[in-house]
Amino acid sequence: MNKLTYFPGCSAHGTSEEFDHTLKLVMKTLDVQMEEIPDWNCCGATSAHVMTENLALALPMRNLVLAERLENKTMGIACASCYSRMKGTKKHLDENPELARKINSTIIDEGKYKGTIDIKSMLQYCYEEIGLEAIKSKVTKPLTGLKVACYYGCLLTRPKDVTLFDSPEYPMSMDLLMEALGAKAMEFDYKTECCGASFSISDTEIVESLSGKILEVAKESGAHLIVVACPLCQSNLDMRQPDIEKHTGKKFDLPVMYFTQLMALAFGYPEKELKLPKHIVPVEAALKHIGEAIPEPEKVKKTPKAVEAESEVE
Amino acid sequence: MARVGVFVCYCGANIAGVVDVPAVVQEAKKIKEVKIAIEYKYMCSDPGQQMIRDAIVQNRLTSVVVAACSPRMHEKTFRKALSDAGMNPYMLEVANIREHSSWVHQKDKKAATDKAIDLIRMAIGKSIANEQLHEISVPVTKRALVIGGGIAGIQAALDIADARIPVTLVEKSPSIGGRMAQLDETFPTLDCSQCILTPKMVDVASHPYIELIPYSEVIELDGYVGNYKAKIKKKASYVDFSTCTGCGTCTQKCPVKVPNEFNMNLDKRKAIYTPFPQAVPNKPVIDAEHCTMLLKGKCGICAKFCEKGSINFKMVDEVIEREIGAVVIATGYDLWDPKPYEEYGVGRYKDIITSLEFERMVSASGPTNGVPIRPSDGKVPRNVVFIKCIGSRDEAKGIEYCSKICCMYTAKHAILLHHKVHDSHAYIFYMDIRAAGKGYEEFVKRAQVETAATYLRGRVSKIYKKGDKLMVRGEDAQIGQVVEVEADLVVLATAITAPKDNPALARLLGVSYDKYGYLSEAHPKLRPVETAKAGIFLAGCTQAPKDIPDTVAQASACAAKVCGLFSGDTMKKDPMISTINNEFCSGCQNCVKVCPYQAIVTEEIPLGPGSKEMRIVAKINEGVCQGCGSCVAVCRSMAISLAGFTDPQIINEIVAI
Amino acid sequence: METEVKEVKEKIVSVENPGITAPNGWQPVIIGILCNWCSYAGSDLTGTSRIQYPPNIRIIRVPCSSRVDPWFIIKSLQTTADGVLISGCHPGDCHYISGNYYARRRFLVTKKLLNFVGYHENRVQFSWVSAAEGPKFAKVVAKVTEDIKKLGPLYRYKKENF
Repeated sequence: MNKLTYFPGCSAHGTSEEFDHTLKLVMKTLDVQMEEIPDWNCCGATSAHVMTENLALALPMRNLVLAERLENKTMGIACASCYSRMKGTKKHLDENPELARKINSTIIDEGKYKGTIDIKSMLQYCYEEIGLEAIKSKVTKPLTGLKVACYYGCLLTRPKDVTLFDSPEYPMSMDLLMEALGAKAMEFDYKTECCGASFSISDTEIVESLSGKILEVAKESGAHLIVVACPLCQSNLDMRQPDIEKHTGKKFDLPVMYFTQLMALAFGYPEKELKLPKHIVPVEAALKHIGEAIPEPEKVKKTPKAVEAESEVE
Repeated sequence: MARVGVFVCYCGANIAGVVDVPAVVQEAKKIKEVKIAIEYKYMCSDPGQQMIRDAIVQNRLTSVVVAACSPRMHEKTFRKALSDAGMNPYMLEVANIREHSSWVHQKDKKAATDKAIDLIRMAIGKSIANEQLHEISVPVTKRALVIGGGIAGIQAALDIADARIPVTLVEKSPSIGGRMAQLDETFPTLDCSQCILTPKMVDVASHPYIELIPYSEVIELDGYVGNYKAKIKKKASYVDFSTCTGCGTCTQKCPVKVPNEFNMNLDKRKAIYTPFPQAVPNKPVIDAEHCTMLLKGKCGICAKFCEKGSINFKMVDEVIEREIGAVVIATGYDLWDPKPYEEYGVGRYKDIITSLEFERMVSASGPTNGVPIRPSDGKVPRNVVFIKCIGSRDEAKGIEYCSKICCMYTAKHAILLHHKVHDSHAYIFYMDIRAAGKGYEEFVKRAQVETAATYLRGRVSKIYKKGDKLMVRGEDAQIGQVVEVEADLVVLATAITAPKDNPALARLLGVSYDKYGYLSEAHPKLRPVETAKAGIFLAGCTQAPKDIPDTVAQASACAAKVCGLFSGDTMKKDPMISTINNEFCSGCQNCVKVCPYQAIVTEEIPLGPGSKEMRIVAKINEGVCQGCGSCVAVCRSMAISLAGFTDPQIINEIVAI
Repeated sequence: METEVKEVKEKIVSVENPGITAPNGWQPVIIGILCNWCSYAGSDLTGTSRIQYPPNIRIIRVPCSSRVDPWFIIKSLQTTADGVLISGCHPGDCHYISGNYYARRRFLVTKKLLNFVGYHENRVQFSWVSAAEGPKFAKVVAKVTEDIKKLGPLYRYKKENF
């Protein structure tokens, strides 16, 4: 039985409830005991770090101090933004011990910061700590026939010297995880492009343009649905999809699911545990592809020699 | 008793504007060893030097102190004045009262003057302990070794050989020609590269003074300038070049196909092969890593068909030795692997190629008969996107420097594309256009006007697939918009790098290299072809990225340096080297361990005069010693002294203040 | 660009001999031993660039920092100097390939010995200045001069006649 300190983040009990719920289910199957940090606070997300440096560091730091009390080696974080803030803060504090001492002594009463906890995103934890073999062994209903486009967003693998996980430009961890579940991960060039993030509230047009492009390329790849590991990614691509369709005139029909929902499905949990009604773009039709045979890809003709040119050659 | 002459220079107003020169002269006169102290406006000028010469003769001076600019400026000048007056030129000391006083203490004239007086006292003290030194003559072997047979090595070899100096030219691959042989046409003239290169290659092969050793590597270099010994390993080619006629039947019959590195792996060659049709020497070699006979003992078809019986599977590597006087390093460049540019899909999409791959495609004798094609389906591309600065000028993923040649060859590629595919369109994403050479700016203009190539100033952030095309998404900064180009083919102008073997070669030869692997020149401005090691010179991209005109110029410069080195029967050497006093030497060999040039060895000498017992002492090779003084400081017995910087000289400087 | 030492108004005490105060208007004497190829060339560049620095330093040229015998440092402190600066090429760039590595190690040991014997640790300082670092040389001299000025004149182990 592995123990994992868990930081849910603000959206876990709200908008990304399906992420949190399915995460707990699959962790149970994988024999991981999750310990939620008591009295955790908001990580500050985008708002704190545009206010003051102290606030931006103090909020995550308090969570780190509380997490260290639980004495587990690793802390897993579901939301990519919380993950980025917490891990980035830890790096900054470890490199500036004077600053860490100052903030600790003036703002945080809960204890002394030791810098002992290792922070991973839940995707990272599944890939690095649990491992694909262990995950594959728990699959009872393989997702064969399902074509997915794995969307990582910006914060799971960047900045690369903070996350120290996968490739910053073309990561493959989620893709390989999906393949371990039996699904087919499509080649998807836009997997790390910006979706517009928190401009969702303040300047929705930006999100419509950027997320719209992601949806377009995902559709081109032939995927049935998009898989994500971050609540903000999910909300921009899912919740804004009808508006994007309306303004661009294109139809996508691309549901956006959390990787933990697909894991739960593959582990044999019934569909109703996935909390599908929470999705804006309906998911059921895409899931019907599970069980279909995938046709063999066409063999590409190899002609390295020049075909006699249609244009004149000097 | 020492008789010192002190000569204080005004240097116009450079020194006199701050330092009170007359006062300095008066102070100098007070020192008992000083027999004459005079001042003049410009000591380095002819009348100034005449003053020094006259003073030496009239006052029977034993040493001279010139207080003026830095010794690094005019020490040689004043030494010549001394020798013209019949005094040993090493009895001179220069007090630096310009760079070290008047120029840096402009606000405090009294302090500057006091400092000048101190510096002169130090110089006087040192000069009293100066010894008369004489330049050393060392023998010189008049043969040059050129490492690398590209255009740099070829040019250097030809120029040295034309001066009737024998040259040994060593090339790693089976043929000379290097990168230039891989090019189609060269900027800015659009000369056919092979056409201008092959005559030089043939000259090298037939020159009476050039010994061409292909398919070989230098594995050892011992010695010092004028007296090097090189060991060269001739790799086994398994073909007897003396009987082979170059008929090519063996290559035709060979069943093994291997990726062809000359064509950037765009097609295949055989295990027995010549790298390209115009190869010099035009004799095949067998690639031991892929030949079935050498690996498994089966096949041997080439030998069966060879009418001359030139193939010998039992050949082995051979090591030969050459005595050399000077070395020219011309090992060329390698290409940067654009793998880190994952956002472009490099490695995943076949239709993204490098500039040298494009160059091979448009070459008439290349893998696609001179027509650029899409590697994915063999179709001729219409929209081609060229992206410059891939790896260059990129601190995050690549290297910081500019590769210098890419702006020009991309313009060339736009022109070549237009010539080969008339209805094509080139889109070039750039940060800058660097076209500083003769005819270069005009050439780029020609590319823009003649081909109507679209130059877009901005970086490409993403390349993604759409159907069977590649969408190139970048910025056009001049209109402040994001643009997307639907491309059939994308060509990346990748950075050039120093050859991967350069650091290992540099350590073998004893020269230094920078953090990128480029070999270090002695001075970036004034000594661009010499290294800090006397007798070893650099030509071409091995020193830094450059184009063909600069490479040829640098190669010829190396040749001039080599000829200068070999111009006498012996070579003159700076006498400021270390010597050992055997009386004090205890044979501890500390000095042997610290000498950076291995100039110190041990020898056995009799314990005493006429004694049969021997003892070990150290011995310095005066030809090799470079005069650093590392040995002096580690000698426990004070047995070593460094001429020009002896302990008495330096101590005198310290106590004179 | 000017790097001047600020006027110190209080009495300056000789740090190794606190009973002794410096005479009015005292200025330290600093001996700088510079390697020809990097630091001396760099100091010439400082001059060519007309960058100003305090006038207390007296420069001695040697071919390489590895030529510097610890004896020179001791002799300097015993006789004319209140402080010593040794400067050579950056590690890896020595004109004579490895000289500065030996120099670096030798001076670490020399400095330990000098501290042990009773000299304040700032009396002898080392720097790496390349031929291109004109401004850096001025900064180094200004810092060393300021440090020595704070330490006061050196009285410990001074020779009477030399």
